Amino acid sequence: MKVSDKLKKRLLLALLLSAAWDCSPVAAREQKTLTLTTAATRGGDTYIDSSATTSNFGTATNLNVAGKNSGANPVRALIQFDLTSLPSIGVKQAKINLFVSSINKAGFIYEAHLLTSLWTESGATWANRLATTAWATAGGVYNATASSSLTPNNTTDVGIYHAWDITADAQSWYSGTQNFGHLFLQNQTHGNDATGININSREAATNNPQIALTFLQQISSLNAAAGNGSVALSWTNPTPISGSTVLEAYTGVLILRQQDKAVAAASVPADGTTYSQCSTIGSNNDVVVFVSTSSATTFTDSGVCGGLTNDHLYFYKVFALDAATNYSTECGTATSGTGACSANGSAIVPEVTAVPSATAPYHAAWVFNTLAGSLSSPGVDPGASVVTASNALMFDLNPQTGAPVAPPIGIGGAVAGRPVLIDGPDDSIGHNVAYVPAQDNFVYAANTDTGSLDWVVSPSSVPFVASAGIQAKLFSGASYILAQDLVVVGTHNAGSTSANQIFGLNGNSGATVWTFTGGGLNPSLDIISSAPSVDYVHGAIWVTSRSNGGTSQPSLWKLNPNTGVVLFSAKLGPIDYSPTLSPQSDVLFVSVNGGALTAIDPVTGSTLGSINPGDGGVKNSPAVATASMPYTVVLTTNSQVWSYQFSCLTNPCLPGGGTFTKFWGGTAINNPSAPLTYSGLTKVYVGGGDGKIHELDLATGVDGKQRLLNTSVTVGDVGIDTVLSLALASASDGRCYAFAIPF
Amino acid sequence: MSSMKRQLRLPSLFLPVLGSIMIAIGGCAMNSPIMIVAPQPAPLAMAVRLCDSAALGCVNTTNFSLASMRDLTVNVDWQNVPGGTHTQQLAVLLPNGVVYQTISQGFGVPESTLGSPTVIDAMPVAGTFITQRQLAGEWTVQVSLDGAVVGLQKFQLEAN
Repeated sequence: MKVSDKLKKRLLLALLLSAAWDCSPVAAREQKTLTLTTAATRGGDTYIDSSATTSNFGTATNLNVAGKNSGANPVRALIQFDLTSLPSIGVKQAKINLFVSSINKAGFIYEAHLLTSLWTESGATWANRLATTAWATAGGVYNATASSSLTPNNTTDVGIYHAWDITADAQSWYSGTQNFGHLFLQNQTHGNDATGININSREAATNNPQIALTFLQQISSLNAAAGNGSVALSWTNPTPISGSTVLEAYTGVLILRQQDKAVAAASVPADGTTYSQCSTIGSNNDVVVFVSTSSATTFTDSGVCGGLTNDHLYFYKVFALDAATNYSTECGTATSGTGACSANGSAIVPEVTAVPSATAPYHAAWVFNTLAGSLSSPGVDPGASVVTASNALMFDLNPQTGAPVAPPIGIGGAVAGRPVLIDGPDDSIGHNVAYVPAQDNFVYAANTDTGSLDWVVSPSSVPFVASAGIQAKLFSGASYILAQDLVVVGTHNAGSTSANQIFGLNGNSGATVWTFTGGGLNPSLDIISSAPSVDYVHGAIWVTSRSNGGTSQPSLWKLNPNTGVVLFSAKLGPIDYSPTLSPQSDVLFVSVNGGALTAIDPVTGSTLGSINPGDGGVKNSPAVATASMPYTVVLTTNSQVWSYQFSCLTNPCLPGGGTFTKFWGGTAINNPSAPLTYSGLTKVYVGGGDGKIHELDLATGVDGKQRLLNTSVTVGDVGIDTVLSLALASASDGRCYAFAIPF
Repeated sequence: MSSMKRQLRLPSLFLPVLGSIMIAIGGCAMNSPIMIVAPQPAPLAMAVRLCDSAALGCVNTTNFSLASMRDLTVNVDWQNVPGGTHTQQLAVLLPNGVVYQTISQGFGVPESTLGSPTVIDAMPVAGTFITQRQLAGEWTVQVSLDGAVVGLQKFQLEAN
C-alpha cells in the first residue's frame, strides 16, 4: 500500500468519525441554535457530586462529569434548555452541544440520559432535586438507556464543542413528555476516570451550552368555514424564525381529512414521500385531500375524495411541507428504531373541525391537542390567555388561535383541575400567573408570560386533586390582613377519611401561611375534590369535602383566610363539587353528591332551603344566572338540566325560609357537566357525554343548539372567554375545543 | 480456516470470549465449528397488581366500582432489573385508548445485580372527573421502563 493510499484512508476514517460525532444536517427547513445563558427564564444547568451530596453548584462556571475511582465518587451534570422561542415545531434533529474545556483521560464514555424528574438549578444536589425534596434515587432520576454517548480524546478533543444527539427526546417534549432536560454521566462499565471532563456552564463567560434544533414550524391561524356541502380552510404558512438557518424553503402544506372522528396522532406523512390527492395515510385511513407546493394559504373542500356529507363532523389536519418533502411531524423517515414516529408523531400538528350543513353549518374556532383526556377544564383569562393542564403538562395558548405561546410546561405530576389564572395588574406577584396543584404533592405557580415556574412547593406528602382557590389582596377588604395573595389548596389523601389538610399559601412565594388538619381536636376532614370558593364579602374561604360516606362528619367548611381557623362547618353529606356563591354573596349554593342542592346562609351557616329534583340527585356545581334575589339557579343531575328560582320570604333570609321554585327542567342531556351561565348571559352551556356542548335557552331550558366536538367522547366543564365570545371545553379525546358563542 | 471465518463474523460483543477460547485451544485442529454459548442475561419481567387503596392489603383485582373506589393502586412487581437508576412510567388509558394520565417514578437497583423491586403508584379516582362524569368501561395500565413499553394490564371501572 502506498503512503498516499494510507493517508487517503486515514482522511476517510477521520471524515467518518467526524460524521459520527457531528451528524451532518438532515434535510429540513430551519436550523436554530439556542444558547443557554443566564438570561434564560426556563431551564438551567448544574452538576451534582456524590462526594458532596448536599452541595449545590448551580452558579458554577464549569460542569464536571466524572466517574469514581480510588475513593472518589461520581459527578454528573444536569442541563435543561429554554425552548420558549420555539413553541410549535416538528423536530427533525436535536443535538446538545457542550464546550468541553478539559478531558483527563481518553477512552471514557460520556452519556446523555433523559431526566424524568423536575429539578431546579438552585436546588439540585446529589441528594435533592429541589431545595428540600430528595430525588427518588440519589444522583438523579433518569432513563437508564442513554440517549447518546461520546468517547472524546484527551488531546484532540479539548477546547471544542461536542454534540450529543437527543433527537428522539426533543421530539417527545413536543408530543407528550415533560422536558426536564438531560443528565450527563460517565459510563462506568469500562472503568472510571475520577477527574473526567469539564464543560462550560451557562455561567461561563463564553462557550455556553447550546442546543441545535432542525425543524419545521407548524402552520398557524388555521381557520375553517363550513358551508353547504363544503368546508373552506385558511391558514398562514410559517416564516423563518429570526436567526435561523434556512435549509429548504417551505413550499406548502399537506392536509389530511377524517369523517366523524379525529385524524389519528399516529398518521404521519413520511419525510421524502410525495402523496397524491385521495391517497390515505395510517391505519386510520386518513385521506390526503390537498397537497400544495406553491405556498397556498386556502383550500376549499367541496367534496374531493369521496365527497362531504352534510351534517357530519370533519377533522382537518394541516402539515407544513418543505422543498425536500419534509413534513412538520415529530419524526423522520425511519419506519422503526431511531427516527421513527411515535404514536404521537402528528399530535400537535394544527387541526380544526367543521360540520357542513344545508341549514346550520358550523366549525370550531380552534382545536388544540393537549395529549391526554383528563377532562381538566381550561383556565381562561378573557381575551388574554387560555391555560389548560392535562396530565402532567400545562399549555399556554393564544385564546384567539389556540396556538401554543410556549412549549408545554412540565409538571411533576398529573393535574386534575382547572388552572387558576390571575392578571398581573390584579395579583400581588406582579405578572400573569397560573396556580396549579398536582398529584405529585406539589403546588406550582407558573408565569404565563414566559412559561417559567415562579415557585414549586410541597406543603404535604399527599396528592392534590382539586383546583386552587385564590384570594386576591387587591379585591379584599380591610379584614384581609395578609400582605400578598392567598392560594388555598386541599389534599386528596385517599388513605384517610379524617386527616386531610387545607393549606393557605403565599401567592408570591408559595410559603405556607397556615395549615388546617382534620382530626384530633379538629373535626375530621375527608378528601377534597373541588376548588375552594373565596367569599370577599364575608371574609371567608369555603371548602367542600367528602364525609366518610355519610353525615357523621362535616363536608362544608368556612375558614378564616388570615389564619385557616374553621369558622363554621356543616354535616351535609359527601360533596365533590365547589360551592357557588350568589352574586350578592348572600346565599351559598352547595351540591351534595347525588343529593340535594342546598342553600346556605354564608353568615350563620344555617340551611335556608334545599331541592332534590330526582334523576339520581344533583351532581356538579350549580350556576347562578341572576344578579340578585330571586336567584335563577341552574343545576344538573344524572341526565338532565334544571333551573330553579330561589327566593326568601324575609330579608335577610331566615333558616328554612328559602324556597326553590322550579323554573324549567329537566332538559335531557346525557351525562351532563356542570352548567355554565351568569348574570347577563341568556344561555346555559353544558358539556355532554354525547361529545357535544349544548346551548340551552336560559328562559325556557330548550336545548336549541349544539356543537359536536367529537363523536364518542365526554365533554368536560365549559369555560367562557367573555372578551372573545368563545366557549371552551376539554374532551376525553385529549383535545381542547373553542367555539364562537352564541351558537 | 473456514471455521475461523465464521467465528470472526460473530458480534463484537463476543470477541473477548472468543479470544480467550482461541488461546485455550491454541494448537488444536479446528475441524468443526466451535459452539460458543454466551451467558444469557435473565429476562426482564414484571407483573401488575391492581387494587383499591381503600381495600386492606393489595389483593389483585381487575373490577372496581366507581361508587366505592378511592384510589387505584398499581403495584408493579419487577424481576431481573439490571443494576442502576431506572424510571418506571405508567400510562393509564381511557376506554377510548386515549391517555388519561401518566405517572413516573424513579427507582434504583444496586450496581452489578439484578433487582426485583415492587414499585407502587396510585391514581386518584374518588372525586375526580372519573367519578363525576362516570368514565366507566375497560381501562388499561401500560407499564414502561426507561421509555420502553414492557406490558399492560386491563381493568374494568363499573358505573354506580
